[in-house]
Order: sequence, then C-alpha cells, then structure tokens
Amino acid sequence: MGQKRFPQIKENYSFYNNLLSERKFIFTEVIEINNKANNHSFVESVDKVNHPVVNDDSMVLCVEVKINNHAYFQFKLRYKSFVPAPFFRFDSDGETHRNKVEGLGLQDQAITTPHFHKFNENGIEIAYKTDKLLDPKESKALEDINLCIIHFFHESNTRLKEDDFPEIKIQSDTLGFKMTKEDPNQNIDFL
Amino acid sequence: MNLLEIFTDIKNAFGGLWQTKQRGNTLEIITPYATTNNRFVSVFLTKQGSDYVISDGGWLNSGVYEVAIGKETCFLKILYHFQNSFEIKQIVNAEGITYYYLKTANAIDIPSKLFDLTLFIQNIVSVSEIAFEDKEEKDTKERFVSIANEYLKSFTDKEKLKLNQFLIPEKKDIKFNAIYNNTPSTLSLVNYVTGSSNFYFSNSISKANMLFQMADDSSAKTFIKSKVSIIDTSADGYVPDKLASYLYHLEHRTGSLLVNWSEKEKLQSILN
Repeated sequence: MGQKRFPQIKENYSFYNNLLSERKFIFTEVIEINNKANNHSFVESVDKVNHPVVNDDSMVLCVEVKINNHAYFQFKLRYKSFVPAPFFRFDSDGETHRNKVEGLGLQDQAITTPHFHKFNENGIEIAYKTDKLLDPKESKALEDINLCIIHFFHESNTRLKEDDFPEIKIQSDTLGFKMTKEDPNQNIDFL
Repeated sequence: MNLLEIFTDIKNAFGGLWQTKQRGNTLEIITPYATTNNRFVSVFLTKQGSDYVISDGGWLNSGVYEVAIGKETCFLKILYHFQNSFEIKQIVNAEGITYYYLKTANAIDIPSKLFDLTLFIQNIVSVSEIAFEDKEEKDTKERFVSIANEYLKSFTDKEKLKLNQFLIPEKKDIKFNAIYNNTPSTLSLVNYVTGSSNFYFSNSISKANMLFQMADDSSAKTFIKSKVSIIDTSADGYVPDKLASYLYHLEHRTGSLLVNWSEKEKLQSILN
C-alpha cells in the first residue's frame, strides 16, 4: 500500500488553496476545552468556522489537548464535506512526519514537531515548519497554547470576528491544574 | 560519482535522520525508520535503577501514529508474532495505556534492543493501516449500533443510559453496547446482535452469550436485573431457520430476553 492520497484535493487544488487562503472567521471568544475526544487521552473543543465560499455548516476548528500534558495540543481545520482528514492542522508535539517527495533529500524528509500539516498538489499530506517554529526561542514561546493559536490563525488566515484572536481555557470545568507530563516513561515501573 | 561514493551518501543521509528530544529524565530518540503512513518511529530511553528501559512511550496504544490498534484475529496474530519474535514486553500505566518496551542492564545491548523495538513499532503501525475486517460487515455493525443507540436514547433517561460501557469500569474487560441503570442498584445489560452474513450473525450471538455468562460470573452479578439481546432482524445475516439453535441457546443458557428489532417497542417496558 502506498501513501495516502486524497484525489479530491488533487482534482480541486485551487479550491483547496482557496480554503486555506481566504479569510475565515470564528465567533467563539473563549474556546473552552472540556469534552473527551474520540482518543480518550485528549479533551477537545469544536467550533464553527465561517468561510466566504463555503455554504454548508460543516467547516469547524477542533482544538485537542492531551489530558496529562497540556503542552501537547493540536489545532485542526476540518471541512468533512470536502475531505475526511483535517485540511490544515498544527501539532505541538508527537511523531515526526516524513515528507516522502521525490527530489527531496532523505534527511530533509523528516519534519519533527512542532509542525503544520497541509496537502500538496498531488493530494499528499506534508508537514512543514514556519520561520517562527524554526527559531528555537520563538518555538519555545509557542509552547503556550494561547500564543500558538494566534500563530495558527495567522498561518491559516483565520480570525475571531473582525481582526481578533480567541482565548483558550483548558479543562475549565476542573480545578484547572496545569498538567505537564512531558516524560512518557515517568511513574511507570517497567517490570 | 562512483558507487562507493553513493553508498557513503546513503549512509550519511540515513545516519543524519537520527534526532533526539529531551523529555524530563527520558530521551526521545527519533529513528530513521518510517511507517507506511509516513511517520518516523520514536523510542524513549530512560535509566531506571540499574536498568535501561526503551519504550514506545505509549504512542502505539494512544494513537500518536494515527492508527488504531485492531482487535481482529488476523491483526492480533501479526501483533503477537512480532511481539514474540522481538520478545517485546508490555505494561499498562495508570491511565490504561499499554506501553511496549524492552530493558537491559547491559549498556552494550541497548542498540540491539532499540533496533528490535523500533522494527516492532514500524511493523505494527504499518500493519494497522490494513483493513482486515470485511467492509460489508463493518458497515452492518456500525449502522445497527448507530440506529439502536439512537432508539435507546429516544425513550430512556439520559442519566441512566451508558453506551459502549464496561460492566466494571476499573476492570475494563467486559463491555456492553448499553448498560441501563433501572434503579441506582439494578442494571440492565444490552447486547446488539447483528451480522452481514450467517457466519458473522452466529458469531455475534456467541459473543453476546459469552459476555452475559461472564457478567454472571462477575462481582456485578447481584445488580443485574435483566440481560437484553436486540436482534437485528433487518440484517442480511439474519436467517431465522439457520440461527434458531444459537438463539435458543442464548435465551435459555443465559436467561437473556431476546427482542427483535422489528418489535423494538418492547424495549420501552423492559428498560423502564
């Protein structure tokens, strides 16, 4: 089996680019992330996104945060009536993506997190880092979800109302301890 | 460029893929081995007492590689094959996530253990991309779960109905399509029985049978008020003549109430 391709993106690549480039809006000022996601290690929020050429209601912004490590989060823009996978996303942590593209050196194919994901003209998902993510200091600052959502909004041309950005509150229905279990092997007695 | 120079390039490119990330006391090692869904495998190295532990960080089981670890027999055979061949150990953490790992007290063995764990992860992630289950069967099951869930939700008290629920949440072994708390101390267990063919339908009956028997052997036995099997009479695999003895067994050996989907209204009096 080869790598996953989305023919609908390849065949409608200008429409796909338009999804990314046109200004999109959300109307939720405070994004509260409380609901268990399908992956039980995460909590998530789902908010409606308005796009000028999309008429149905199915474009959404999903924010997912790992319950035991709030520095591990993902932003996803989904438009399921066009493509089942998120059409644009950001991963703060997690696995290293391989951009398997001919003409690209093997070493340059590995894109560690944090990174963005989008699709190329062949409908293949590729990961990339922005200049901010390549700069160690700026990348460190973007571990703060509330700064990172602004970067994500700039990169995806999304805004709250006119020209603003939302605030994110994680597990606002709990005591609100900030969970930061960055070491996956911590507290496990490997027998 | 001569061939030997090309080989040097290959070695350098391959070697250059190794990267690390410090995570507390653990070092994440990003290896040059990639999966069929284009993820590089990471392993996590920690010193624990006098041992070195190399784990998958719980990533396989928690979906970081964006594949779900299957439950189908075909898949499990493959999983166990790789697990046995590479002698991979496993342990479940406090949150219920399975970790796959190897450990050694001998530093000289670390690269070899790391190599084995990496190949294990690479294979399991890649194999997880294969759809083993029959598509028609998967669709039949999903459709019935969805309509039966909606129906139960339409007339029951939301607070009392738990869908796709473990009988004993701490134990996480026996799971029912629905558990309904008739009263704070009595439960109704509900199994959906369906299948796209006679083979799958009779398997589904057998599964219901086994789950009800296991529930009767569990510590929750005294709380069980009724055991309900909802029979998908609209499924292609529902051929009453061929299933009669299976259904008879289910009804008489486990005391399950059989409710045909064509008479689903009966559920309203059973579950209230």
